[in-house]
Amino acid sequence: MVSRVEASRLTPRAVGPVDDFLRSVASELDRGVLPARVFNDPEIHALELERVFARGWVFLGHETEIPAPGDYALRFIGEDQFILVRDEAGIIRVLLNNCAHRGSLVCRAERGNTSHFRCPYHAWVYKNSGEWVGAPLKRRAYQALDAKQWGLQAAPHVESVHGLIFASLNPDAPPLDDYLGGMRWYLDAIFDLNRAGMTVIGEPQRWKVHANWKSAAENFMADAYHVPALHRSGEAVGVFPDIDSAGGAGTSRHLFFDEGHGMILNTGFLPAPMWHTTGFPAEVAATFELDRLKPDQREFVESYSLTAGTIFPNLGLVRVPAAPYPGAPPVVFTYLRMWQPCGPDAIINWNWTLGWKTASEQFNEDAYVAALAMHGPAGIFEQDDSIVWAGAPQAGRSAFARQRGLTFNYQLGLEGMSEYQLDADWKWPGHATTTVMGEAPQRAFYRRWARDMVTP
Amino acid sequence: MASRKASAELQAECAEFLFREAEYLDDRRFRDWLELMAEDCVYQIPIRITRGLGSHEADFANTGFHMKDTYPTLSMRVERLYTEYAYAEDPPSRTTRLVSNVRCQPRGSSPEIDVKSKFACYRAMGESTDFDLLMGERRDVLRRVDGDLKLAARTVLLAHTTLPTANLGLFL
Repeated sequence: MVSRVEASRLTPRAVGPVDDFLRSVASELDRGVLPARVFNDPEIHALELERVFARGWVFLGHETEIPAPGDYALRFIGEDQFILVRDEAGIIRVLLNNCAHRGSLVCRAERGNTSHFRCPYHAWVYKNSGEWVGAPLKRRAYQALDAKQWGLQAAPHVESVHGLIFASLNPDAPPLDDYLGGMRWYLDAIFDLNRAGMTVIGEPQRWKVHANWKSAAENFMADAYHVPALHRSGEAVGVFPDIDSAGGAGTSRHLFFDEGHGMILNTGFLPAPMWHTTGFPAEVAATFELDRLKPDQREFVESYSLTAGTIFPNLGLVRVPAAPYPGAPPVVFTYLRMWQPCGPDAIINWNWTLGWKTASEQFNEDAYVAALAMHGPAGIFEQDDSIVWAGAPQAGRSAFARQRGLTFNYQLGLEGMSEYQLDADWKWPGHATTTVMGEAPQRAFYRRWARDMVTP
Repeated sequence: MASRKASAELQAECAEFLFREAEYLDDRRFRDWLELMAEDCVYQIPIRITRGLGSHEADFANTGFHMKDTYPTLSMRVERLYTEYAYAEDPPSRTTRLVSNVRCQPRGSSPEIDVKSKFACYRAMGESTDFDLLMGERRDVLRRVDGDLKLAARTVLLAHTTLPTANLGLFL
């Protein structure tokens, strides 16, 4: 007879305790708590790969990374590796990087340009659209092979919004716009400020961190409260004066959706003229074509700027000003972040810094240098995030924590806790709050997660 | 002007400079370390990616960076390490840096010397037996200023594509 623990290891998909547990998560969130177990459970992680990553729309890269036919880059959806490639017709494809014959990797360089992918094992060859085109001795070896059935497995849906490429592995996925819901309206206001748009600067940074991917997602989405605590060194060295204002004492607010997307908005960290109404200095703002936006979007752009946000499940967006060193003028930078899960207790961070195609080379360079000094693996802010997220997976697998049914506190902003409420007068899409002294977006994120996780 | 061969003496002096630098970093004497930097120094860690042998592009495209620092940003990083809020390095990681394969090439009559070296940086934290091992090559420019050598430029060519450490809260 096997123990219950062993049995659960042997049958990771068994309907039983894990489903009951996952069903309990939503009701736990109503009282503002989240079980530690969601941060480290192999069974839950395996379900996440199927029910979250292989179901939703996942970010893969930016169109400016693969501008020409044949350009490709290796990318991940969940833990599966894909070739993100622009085919000869200019169509962006997302192809599973495993030969249909024996599963060998057909592409092992991370970036490049090619018309075909040739498997090194038996030399099966595919067009960069994924189509099977041949194999050695084809006429003798595969006389009756149906080429249509033996192409590389392609993601059924690939769509872009303002250069950001997403794919869904779910044949029944809703269109990307429906998946984004009201978040799409804000993406226009963040990325569609002119026809030329934004471009990736250099290759993405990648670094491995001990964390469950959800800790990063909820942090970027809405965690203003941690900023003056964990990132106090920014004020201490003199690049982020009055850091308390970023943590709840200032004029920021949350904006979120029941779909699990959300962000922190602010009314401007910097005095004019450094902080133009779009969040960029006048020199850059002069290149914007705000008449592209709807009048209400334009009004939003002239009132608020993104600070940080998350698109469910694993894309982060950041646009903040920072000085690269004390005494230097602050500069606004924008970056995209993807959290690639590597088991339940590790992630690989992917970081793409963006520049405006219409901005001066100097502005984009200054923004890039400031972004590297403040965020990313060497950033003096983000170095500290890389340490604190290692704890939740430890607690998640703790025998004592399981015995106690340990839950973490997500009660910030619940009634009686703080002056934090939904803004009934918010005239634009989504739920807006009156301050950032709360965790409503995080609770919405986990509710969305729990819904996906209990849906077979 | 053709560069001349480095004398054994210069070779030894450059190696000694790098060994002293590694000692300062391992001993967390960051302000002493900063003293070794020229005030116009450029410190860069370009991003590496895997390219095919037939690719026309290099693994280091020098368009993307993990660090693109100058003296003021290095100085900020050093000062941060003396605050009580540098949580990534508090408690500090235990590092051991090995520097080897040092070769130098004087730039003719210029006070600058090109110095190539290989490094291995072991980094461990807390009670764990796990550690991070960062390795690569450094392409440095040392400059003689008032008799002493200073680091005028450093490009760290990592042996890694994805960084195998949670942060670059240390200097390589």
